Amino acid sequence: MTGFVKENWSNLLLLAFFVLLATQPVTRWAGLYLGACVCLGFLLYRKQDPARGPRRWRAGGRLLQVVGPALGLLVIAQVLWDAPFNVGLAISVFVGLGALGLHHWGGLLSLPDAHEVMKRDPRPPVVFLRSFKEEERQVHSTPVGERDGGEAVTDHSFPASREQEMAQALDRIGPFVAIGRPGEPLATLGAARVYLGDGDWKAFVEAMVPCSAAIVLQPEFTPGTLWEVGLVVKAVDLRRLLLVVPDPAVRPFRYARVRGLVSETFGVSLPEADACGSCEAFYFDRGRRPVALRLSPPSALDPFVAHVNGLGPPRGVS
Amino acid sequence: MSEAKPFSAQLRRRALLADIKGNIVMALISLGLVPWGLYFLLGKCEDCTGWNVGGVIIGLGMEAGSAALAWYMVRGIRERAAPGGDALSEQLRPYGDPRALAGELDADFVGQRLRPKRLFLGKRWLVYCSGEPVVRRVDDLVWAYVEAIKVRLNGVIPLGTNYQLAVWERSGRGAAMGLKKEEAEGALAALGEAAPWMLSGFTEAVKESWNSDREDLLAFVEGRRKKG
Repeated sequence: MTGFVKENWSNLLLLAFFVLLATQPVTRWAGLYLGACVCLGFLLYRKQDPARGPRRWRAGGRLLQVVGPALGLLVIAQVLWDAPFNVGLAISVFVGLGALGLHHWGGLLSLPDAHEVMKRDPRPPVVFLRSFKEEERQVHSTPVGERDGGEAVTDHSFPASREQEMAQALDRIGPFVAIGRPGEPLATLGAARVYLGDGDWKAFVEAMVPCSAAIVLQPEFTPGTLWEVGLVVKAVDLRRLLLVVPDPAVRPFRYARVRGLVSETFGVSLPEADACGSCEAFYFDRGRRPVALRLSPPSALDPFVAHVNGLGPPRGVS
Repeated sequence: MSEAKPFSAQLRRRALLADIKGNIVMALISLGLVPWGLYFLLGKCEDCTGWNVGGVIIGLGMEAGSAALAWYMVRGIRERAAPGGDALSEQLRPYGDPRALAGELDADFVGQRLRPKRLFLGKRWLVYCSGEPVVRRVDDLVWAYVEAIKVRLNGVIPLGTNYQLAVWERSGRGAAMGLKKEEAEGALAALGEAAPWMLSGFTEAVKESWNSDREDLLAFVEGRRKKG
């Protein structure tokens, strides 16, 4: 219990504030709506048993996506009508954020499982192999770390992953699938996830890789990703590979390490960091020559999509 | 003119004065919040009668803020009063025994008078004091750059630009020192000479490598140091 309070003290404080709002006649509905949003957040993001995969409820999610924002609009109308204008406006902002949150959670709840996606779409899949650490990485506008003295500098951050853009583009080749991180409370946007235990994921990847239309590999130096690199070297036609690399213009040191790994394992030479400019991925043409790409906007991947679609079905598919 | 006290003693004295000043301000704010909070809580606010929950929230917030400030202040005083809890020892502790290192500091700046908002660069140490002291070992520095911070009134009206020298060391700890633009640029050049292995200047590549690939960046800097 104390652990829960420690982890969620800010949300509990927010909940107390919303309960206080609910005690007042003019802000009753706003308080109830916002309180319900916080409680739903607690329910959805509570720890999930890794063996069970994330929470999914397709019908419920769709309903939440529609009913949540609709109720939010009604509450905003009521509070703007009944409360003093400045109070109503401030509370409407909260309610609007709550409505957006409900819509987002509804979307995550209704995301289909990778098996379901592949059942619906019979084309050979595009498998995304990456380390979970890289999936979590954030890009910060300022150097990260504790510092003494001086004026504080405002930091902005956003997720480094380009998975959602890739999902949009690669959908034109086949269903985009990936292994999900065990214990995730809700599924993630981007590739459709399959959730497997520690012992099962290698068997799944081994079965999927040879019959995939394309492989998106983000090489890292974790044991799991190195195993995946080894498998891709053995089982995949290099022309079907999209190699996601650290952008040499902003991560030259990591790019150099990945370049070394690729040269050692695949026997192909990526351009030097200085020669390549800004790029985020490579695919390999018929002569095994690397072609640099960016991953955003999704149309930047058009050359790779056209290249793979021109190759015909993969070796493992009759 | 009297002889300057040991540099570490000057630093300790200035940090203590800054601490006292800070605590007086905090105590005044904390005490001031109590009657204001009661004023709102007891419903004396004429503007709040139409929406009385506002008064309760504001009053409770003020009382809670006052209590939090008082708690923070008492905790700070107790920490500082503990043996080795002074601001200089805290700065030196990551490098080893603060007492021994204070001797090194005195040797580096023998006979010098500490002046606020000035950067002192010795053979082994970098010192800056504007209230709380900032002490960094030159040998540990990996990256330094001049930071320009735009100052705006209420986040809108531009008032000018402040400059500070930011330094980061291999342990991941950073420090920022407010200086004039020319002073900051001069200090960066001087640091570059004192620690030629150090990366000088801000680029997106160094920032992102620091944030995401720190081990690789540190290895690169270490390589530069070994090459001399």
